[in-house]
Amino acid sequence: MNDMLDVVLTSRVRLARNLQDLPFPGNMAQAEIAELVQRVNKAINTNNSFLLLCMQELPEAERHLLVERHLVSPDLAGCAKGAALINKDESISILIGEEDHLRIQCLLPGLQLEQADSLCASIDDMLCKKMQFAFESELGYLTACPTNLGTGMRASVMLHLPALSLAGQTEGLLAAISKLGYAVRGLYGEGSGTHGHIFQVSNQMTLGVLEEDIISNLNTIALRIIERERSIRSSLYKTNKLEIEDIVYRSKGVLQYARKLNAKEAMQHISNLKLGAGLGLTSGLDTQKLLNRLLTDVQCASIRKRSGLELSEAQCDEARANIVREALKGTI
Amino acid sequence: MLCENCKRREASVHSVTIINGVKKEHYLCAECAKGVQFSLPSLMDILSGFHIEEEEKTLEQQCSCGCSYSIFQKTGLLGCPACYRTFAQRLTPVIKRAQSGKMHHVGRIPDSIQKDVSEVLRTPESQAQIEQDEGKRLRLELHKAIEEERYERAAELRDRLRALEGESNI
Ligand SMILES: [Zn+2]
Ligand SMILES: [Zn+2]
Repeated sequence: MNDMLDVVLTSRVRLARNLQDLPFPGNMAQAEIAELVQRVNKAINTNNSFLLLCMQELPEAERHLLVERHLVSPDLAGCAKGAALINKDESISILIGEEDHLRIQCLLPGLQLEQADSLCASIDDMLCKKMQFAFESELGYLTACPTNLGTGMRASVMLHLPALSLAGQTEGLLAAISKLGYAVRGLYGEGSGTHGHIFQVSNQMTLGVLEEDIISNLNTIALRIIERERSIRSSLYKTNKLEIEDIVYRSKGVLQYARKLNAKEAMQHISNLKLGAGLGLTSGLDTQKLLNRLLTDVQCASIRKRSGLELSEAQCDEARANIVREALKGTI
Repeated sequence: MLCENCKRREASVHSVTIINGVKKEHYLCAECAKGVQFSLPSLMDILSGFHIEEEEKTLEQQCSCGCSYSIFQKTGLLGCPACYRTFAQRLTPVIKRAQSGKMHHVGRIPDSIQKDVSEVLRTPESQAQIEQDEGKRLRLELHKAIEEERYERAAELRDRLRALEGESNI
């Protein structure tokens, strides 16, 4: 269905909503937030299609895991006051009592912004039949922070751009995008060695724009970047065949045989292998999907969740190598 | 290099953010990076320009929720929905800066409000509703025209949109 998995890791849309009759969460007592959680849970979760997770009742490691899987924001996990409602396939999560009363968010693999938007909108529709949202005709949906006013919408795509990075072209391209009102964030490792080559593009403005435009403009931007990334990948491969193959196959070897892997190393090699898969250097039907999932699975909290919460750093590295080896067995 | 946030641990993460063409770099330790990773830039930059003028005021106006403008300046967060009315005057330039000059919502509206309006007017399609729909339609068409690089058509649509919005503001 989705053929953008070689470049787009995930698409996310979130809507900020607040109730008319309550102060914003930062101004609410613990008990009031607990009441809000129950109110929202009653309104949306009548047939138990969502799992209710109260931050206060979760051990820290579990909260970390939710953050790593992008189901809960670091803020919500950190303040330990609110709760999250998460659906079965983890595509929808409703954060309650974070910066705003409600953050309805939808996270889907690959480039699926429109689908994510319509999922969010359907939850929004259901909720606004049961409760009165703070809304004003001029400023739109009222939010605790003025940067979210209006639509309350933040749409983003997580992109894997190894070729643009290797060619040193990310900054120029991303600076150009930022002039269109979209913000770009990249995470780099220490010094020159970038790891993961992962960038996030999201809309900056929320007021005075149509939801459809936020989504379709971001979609267009993503498609342009995909096009560029792919063309640089193939031209890099044409001109530096030996180097690229060396990078890809070395990483493949490490991932298939290493007995210890730290998170940064694992990210870097998975990134290289994704580049190889995109160039057809590795066979296997769902390789991109598998590698995208591995990028999340190799994070610390995920490892500890699967292999024991009390793991030391060294034990974690060992468990990570095992998980990667197991996942790649027989698939590439 | 030490982490620029906690100034205790060694910085291991170099994060680069580009917003509106301005590049910002941060050197953080792994611990502090967790907090800022992929989070939006704070409102502080936007607010900083308004500090001096505020310090001169001694009498502090408060919203019924207990929030004051100086609390907002410190936290970047308002206390309740009504704060937008209470501090409307001082918030206007802040919103303008945060939203690149835009001050009018054009997106979706909650179902309940749509119903309220039509019930009051007892007609399913009030003049305001028609104008709003027309505005939406024009905006979509404008977007399409720009995408297809039909700039003359786009200019025409933009003028009609302006005229429509001018009318409804009177
Ligand atoms: Zn630090
Ligand atoms: Zn207030």
